[in-house]
Amino acid sequence: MAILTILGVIILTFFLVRVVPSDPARQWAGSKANPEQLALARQELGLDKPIIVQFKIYFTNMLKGDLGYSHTSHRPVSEELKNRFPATLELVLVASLTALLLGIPVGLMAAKFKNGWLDHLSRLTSIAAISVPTFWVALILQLVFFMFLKLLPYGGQLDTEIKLFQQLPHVTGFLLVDSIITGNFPILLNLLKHMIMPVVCVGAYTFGLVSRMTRSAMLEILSEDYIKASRSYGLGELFVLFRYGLKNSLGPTITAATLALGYAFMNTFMVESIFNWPGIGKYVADSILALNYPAIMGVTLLATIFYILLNVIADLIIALDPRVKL
Amino acid sequence: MRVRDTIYQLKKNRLTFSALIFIGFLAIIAILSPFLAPYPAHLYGGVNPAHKFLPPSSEYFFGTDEAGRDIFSRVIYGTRISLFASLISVTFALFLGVPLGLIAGYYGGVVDELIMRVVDIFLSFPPLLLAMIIAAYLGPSLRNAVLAITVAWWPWHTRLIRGQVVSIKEKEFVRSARAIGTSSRVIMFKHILPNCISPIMVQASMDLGGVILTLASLSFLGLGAQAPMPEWGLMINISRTYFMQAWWYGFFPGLFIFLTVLSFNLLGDGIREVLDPKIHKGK
Repeated sequence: MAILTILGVIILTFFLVRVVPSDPARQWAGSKANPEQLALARQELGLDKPIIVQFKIYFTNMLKGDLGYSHTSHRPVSEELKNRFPATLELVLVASLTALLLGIPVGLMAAKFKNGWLDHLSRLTSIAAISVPTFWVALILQLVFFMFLKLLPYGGQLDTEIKLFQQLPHVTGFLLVDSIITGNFPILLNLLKHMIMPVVCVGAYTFGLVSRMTRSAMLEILSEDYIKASRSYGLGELFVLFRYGLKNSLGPTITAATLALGYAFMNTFMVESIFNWPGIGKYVADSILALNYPAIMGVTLLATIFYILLNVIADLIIALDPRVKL
Repeated sequence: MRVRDTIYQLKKNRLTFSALIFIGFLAIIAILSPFLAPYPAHLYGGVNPAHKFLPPSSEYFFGTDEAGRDIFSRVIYGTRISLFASLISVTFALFLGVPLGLIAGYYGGVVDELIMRVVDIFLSFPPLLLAMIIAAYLGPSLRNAVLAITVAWWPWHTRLIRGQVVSIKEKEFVRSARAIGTSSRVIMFKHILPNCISPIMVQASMDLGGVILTLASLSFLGLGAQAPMPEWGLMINISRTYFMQAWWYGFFPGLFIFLTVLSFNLLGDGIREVLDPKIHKGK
């Protein structure tokens, strides 16, 4: 089923980017190209062939891992995606982890003290976190921490001096992991300083979503008979809450976590462009604005596979619960 | 009775009720904005270089921008643009998504399979990404951004309605209607649809917040409204060039986006809480 959906996505993106009148050959050859160069570019890109043949070529190449060449940089899209993926994954994972660690306890407490001031406060903060425009938070953070307090850098992943004059650790390709395992603390510190603002922006939505979902899942469970029974046995409230409550709300929480990853990923489109973070998100925004369609299709494919995979993983984890029948 | 009870419950929650009042206030601003704006000439044109980048004051409540235009007037007018464009998007998405959901749920079988597979494909795109791609290929303008959001949003309605229809169509009244030979079209639109209205309305009102946010995001990325339109996201986008000189330029439009989306989401959350019987049981 998932494979059929991915196939649908491929077909849809392929035809979506081709029904629109834009001239990829001109993009490829440059704006000053003469007619012969344009014709050559058209031939090189296979644009002179019928659209069905084009699709067949694209599809067979894709199965071999070849996503075509970026129209702006003339480099393979798959290579560009591979180089940029670690930076985004690091951002998304750190942001979602922070959001989960904050969101689950907040949701738990809100459910415990339903309709108390704590519940109202958490409702307001969670919904505010969902409602706030990411690009506006970014702007305010930059104003406060960069311009007025001069505490944090404006953007980027590392200071320019470090990037130019220091040997960057390269083991796994993940800068955060690499700087930890090679024990390069100046770089680690610099990287973390650059990460704070993007992480807040990417994680805010996720935090709001997770705490709301944990709250409603817990409310449902706290009204169950077995919770009432354990309370009437005189079991400690914290024990009931964590041992029986949280354990049984694991299903919805995992659903929330996978959703969280998906939303965090989506938020990187905006956040990475604002903070100049060298990841997939910035690549998406740049390619879309330039109508660079091999890049757009590559990213869309990657994003949807990531999305679908998350859902499959969530289903599998939930299926570990013996009460669930698939 | 049900409606009155819902309103009573909504009133009881002060946060939800204040959100409702704020939305009413925004609606009034949106309707009256051309008359409320202190400098109507600044909405689309009006260049006044002598007054550029003035900080907020009693003359210009939210300060002025790079052309010396009053940001307060432009933000006020932006309310009308955002609310109106988002309402159109949500309505279009309903007109596309609801009939398809009705058909899929009612007929079942191959038709259902076909429609829902297409829905699945659309739902497996991150909505913002899909809207961005469509808006970029249609060419950046407010109208195209509205269309792009419609295309990204309709499948959610289709899925919701289909679920409702599947459970309603086996009810006694539908079966009796079918037994006396009522046509499928009449059954779908006269008997089933009215029974799905309340979840549709709840969903649509909860969507508005997200749609307003997405629209502003598209404009911020340069894929929506174009200058000199006083659209909130676009204003923040332009303000980034001048952010060292004028903090107020991007701050106030963003504050309006935030408060608007916040009140729609608070209202939606409040309505869901009131209508969800599971949560009430716990009291």
